[in-house]
Amino acid sequence: MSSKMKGKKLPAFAGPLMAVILLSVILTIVSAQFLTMDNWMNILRQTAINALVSCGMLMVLLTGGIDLSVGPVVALSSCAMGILVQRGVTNPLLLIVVALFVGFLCGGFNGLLFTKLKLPHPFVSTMGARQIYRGLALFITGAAPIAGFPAAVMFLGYQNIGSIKFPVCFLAVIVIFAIMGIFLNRTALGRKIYSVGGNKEAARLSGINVSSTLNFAYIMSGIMSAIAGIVLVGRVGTALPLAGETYDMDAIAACVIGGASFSGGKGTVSGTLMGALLIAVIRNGLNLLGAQTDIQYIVIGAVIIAAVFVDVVRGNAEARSRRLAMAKKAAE
Amino acid sequence: MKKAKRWIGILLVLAMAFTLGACGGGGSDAGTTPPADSGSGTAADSGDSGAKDVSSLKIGVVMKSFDEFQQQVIDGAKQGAKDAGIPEANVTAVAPNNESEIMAQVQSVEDLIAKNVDILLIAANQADTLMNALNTAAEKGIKVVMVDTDAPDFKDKVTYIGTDNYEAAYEGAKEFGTRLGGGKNVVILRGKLGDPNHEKRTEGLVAGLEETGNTVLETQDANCESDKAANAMEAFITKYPNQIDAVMVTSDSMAVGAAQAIKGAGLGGKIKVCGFDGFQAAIDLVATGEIEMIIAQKPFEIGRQGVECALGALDGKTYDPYINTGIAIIDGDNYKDYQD
Amino acid sequence: MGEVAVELRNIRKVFPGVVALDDMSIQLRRGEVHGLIGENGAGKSTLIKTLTGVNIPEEGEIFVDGKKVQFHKPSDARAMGISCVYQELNIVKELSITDNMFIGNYVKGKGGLLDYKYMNRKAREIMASMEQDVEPTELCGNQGMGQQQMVEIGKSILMDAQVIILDEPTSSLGEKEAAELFRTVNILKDKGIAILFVSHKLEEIFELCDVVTVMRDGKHIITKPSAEMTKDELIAHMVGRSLTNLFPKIETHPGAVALETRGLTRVGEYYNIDFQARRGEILGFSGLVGAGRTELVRGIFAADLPDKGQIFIDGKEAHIRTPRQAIEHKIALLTEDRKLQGLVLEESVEKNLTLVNIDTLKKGFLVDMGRIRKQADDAVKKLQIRTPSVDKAVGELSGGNQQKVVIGKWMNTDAEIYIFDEPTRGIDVGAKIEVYNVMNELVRQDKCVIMISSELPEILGMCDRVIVMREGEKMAEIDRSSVHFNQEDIMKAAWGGKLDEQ
Repeated sequence: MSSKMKGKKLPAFAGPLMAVILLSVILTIVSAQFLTMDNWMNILRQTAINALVSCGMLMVLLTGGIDLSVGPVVALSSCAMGILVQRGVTNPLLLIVVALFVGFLCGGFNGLLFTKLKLPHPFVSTMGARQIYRGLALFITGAAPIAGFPAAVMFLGYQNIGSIKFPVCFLAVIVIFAIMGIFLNRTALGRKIYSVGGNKEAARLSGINVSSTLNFAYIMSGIMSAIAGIVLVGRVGTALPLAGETYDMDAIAACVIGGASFSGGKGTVSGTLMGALLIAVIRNGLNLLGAQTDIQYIVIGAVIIAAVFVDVVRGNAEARSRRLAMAKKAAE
Repeated sequence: MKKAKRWIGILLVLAMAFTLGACGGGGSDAGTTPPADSGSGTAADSGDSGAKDVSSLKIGVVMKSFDEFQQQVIDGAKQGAKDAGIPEANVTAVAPNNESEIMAQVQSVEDLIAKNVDILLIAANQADTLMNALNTAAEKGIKVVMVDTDAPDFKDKVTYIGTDNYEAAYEGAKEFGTRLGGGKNVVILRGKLGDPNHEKRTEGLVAGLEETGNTVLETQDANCESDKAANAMEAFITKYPNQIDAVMVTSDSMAVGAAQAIKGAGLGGKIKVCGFDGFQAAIDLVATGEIEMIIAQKPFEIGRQGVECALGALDGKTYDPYINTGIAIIDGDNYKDYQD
Repeated sequence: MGEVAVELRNIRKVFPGVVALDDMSIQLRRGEVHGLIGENGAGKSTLIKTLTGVNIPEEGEIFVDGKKVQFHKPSDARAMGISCVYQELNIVKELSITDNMFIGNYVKGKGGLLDYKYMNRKAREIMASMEQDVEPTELCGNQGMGQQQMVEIGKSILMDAQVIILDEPTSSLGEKEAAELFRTVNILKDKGIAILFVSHKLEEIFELCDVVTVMRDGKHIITKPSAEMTKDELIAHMVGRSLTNLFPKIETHPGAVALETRGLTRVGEYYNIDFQARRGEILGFSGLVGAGRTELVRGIFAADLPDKGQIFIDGKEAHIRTPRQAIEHKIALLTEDRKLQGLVLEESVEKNLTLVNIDTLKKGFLVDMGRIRKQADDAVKKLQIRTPSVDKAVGELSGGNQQKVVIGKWMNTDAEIYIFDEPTRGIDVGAKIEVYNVMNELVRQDKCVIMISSELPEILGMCDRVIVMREGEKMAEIDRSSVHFNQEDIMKAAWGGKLDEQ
């Protein structure tokens, strides 16, 4: 790296983007079908759900927390729509509002467990809530998947537009990520999420209402999961009480690959989107190559570890150069 | 603080209202559930005419996990109990969260033995692990019926009722393969790698398809998740453009995902889908033609007959060690019989 | 007098912006209790850390038993028999006394399992040698603070320590426990161990120590047998520096009372504090570290709620329950620990400057990036924050510039009462003067300024009035015009002495 470059920080999404490009080149060489418009639309479609869940997860990670209940919230919100459909509700708007409301309630419940009951760490509270939501989803559906959703509800997850068949769900992802990007960087509440995650005590002593900021982050995670639930219903045509078993880990992986930190205060929506895209490209590529799930587990695990490792190395290098600069200053 | 209390209160009330509403719904569903042939029901009715009072008998059902299939076995067992005059409340049904929680299932069996049940219906997750508990139950005089999945080394069982996974898959695939007409290319979406049920089913599907002259292009693991199945199906379509004639799955949760992906790719009708299990959501797709046929075991029948046999054993009757309930083929002609 | 066990010669240790030890020398002899005393920040901790191998000095030499040695890590010093019982005890409360003594040095028996029989016996022996009759299998958490300290000392003996450093050992002990400790120290002394006794309490120095060394500004001032010292002499050595023109004090005109507390109490931290702070003046809070000053202002700001007492703002009682409400009452608290409590280190200068007032910078739904940038540029200019760009992460700035960002963050609010807690700690002289100038500017605007400082010259140089606290209580209130407004008297009050005519 030239000395000119050193001063400028690479954006967080540069790493995963480069990985996506590198991987794409390799896959293009080894698989004739990889670099086709159809396949790329597939990849975008397959990115959507994880990207949405990750977006909510990012809010929570930014505050230094974690939300392990996202998968069950996806299931519960879609199943809530499902039981209404079973009872003859066909108004798509009402169904969607109900799903979002379920997401809101779940997120709010997670937040209150942490901020009001003062459970020690959201790992514990959302781990408990995760079981509750899964149980509720199984309970209200009697463990049976539900089909028969009106087309307007499925629109988001199912429809493609234009001759290239661009998936509507990914369009929604772009819009939502743009909004969340603006929200995090350009609104007071968004800035507070970073501040609370970066230094909770400093934020509190600066008059920021830490509890309501945290609650908001968990509610956003719930609502994002609910949107993912709506997309999922469109994507597979059914509401599944057992859906999303691995969504929490996938989302955390996307955020971490995208540069988010478990200690909070660090992470961007663009990085997260790239992280989600990278995971989708890996899975798609391995599917095209006919690799079984065992290989997929191994590759994605290795990518997560590599991504975090790169981050650690970068952090250490930054800390080191900072220390050297300060020592130099002190010596002067 | 006051504000917080109010918030929690509102949340709780909403949550309760929500679940209560759902509860009511669930109840009405249960009332209309029995899809099975009514003929055997009457048989059981006649059976209890000469019998002693059975209303105090306690029945325990230990399933493998919690899904629609297992639920239907339980519903069948309840129906069997009701037919014999045993109150539904005497039926205790439990299952671990997950099929891999082998020990949890053993504990469930032990708990039910301690509860002094008279009849046990058990679907074994791991037969070897269960052996001790099963023998204990038999020693106590509990009538144990293996349902859905057998414990072959357990000699003192009343009987094993169900359909072997391999056999069900094999028979079903033969039927589907014949309907395809041979010489067709098929892909398979299977459940979790390492899960014995899905291993057996996959083997059965491959054997059945090949016997009927079809080719299996590739098998992918979609972990019984609909969205993973959709992803994998999309990859198949990309990888084998215009080559795939049909897709088979080892569970319906993947059939619905695959069907949706096929529809999304504009190949509806061109690639035929064959489901497995007979979940309602899949049956609904048989109605719309998006799924060609479903290989179904008869969970409700397994549960109902399980109780029937156990009651017979209490009266001193003996049964063959294996009662095959066989498979049902759900397709466009008969799906209405299976719909709720 | 015994032979020299350990000696530091001409030690120099520099931290960014501060010379912590400068040409420091000290000799610790066997069978001698050596008192070490000095103001906060005089370099006592750095000295301890140098002795224990935590800090590696830039210059100077260390001798153990007359041989020159070099410590590269704490275990080096431990291997040489130097051990320290810190103020914050290293006790695992959930483990037994034996476990605590043997932690890290467990003794294994024949089978490779831990030999508790031996360890318990050894622990009992060591404790008995200090005339402590304890059951070694008891949990440490069930013991009093004094006992726990004994366990730590026992650990040192177990490791065959020849030099034991006691860092403010009585600060958390009651009188009886302290007396017990002194007895133990004398036993250790008779065993020929060299003891360095660091304390804030003059009486203890005279009671226990054979010799005393006074430190100031990282330098050695004097070492003398304590019998030849007087209290006043000690204090004079500790503070004895002349006030230079470091302090740009301006003439002030104290006005109406802006902040008043009545009977403010938080049990265990401060008791019945009454004071008034006026507009257009700088009110200082002096005292030793741990006197309850930081806790008091945190109570006023509702960072930790007081148990009882009233707070009046501009004469009206204010019920402040959260920091947010304190800010609404126009109070600004610049915390002592800016890294942990004042700044989000990985965020930019610009963003840190918006921490308190982000809600006022909105334009519709969004924040107004233009105004945020302008606010940052203004602050950088006005406070002369030296940073390559307002986008630089605040953690990468020097201490002085970080402090200016904290100040800047609060200047962006329209606060009327500014509480500075140790505002110049760890920042260089130039930055200090800039901080004082900010205070002057605030006073000129008729705002109320409160400054907690452990540096007496700073209190004397800048404050119009000073309140002296000791162990959570207000000891004295001294006006700039009073004859007691001098280092010796403030020190005296801080050390628990009475002032005449008070």
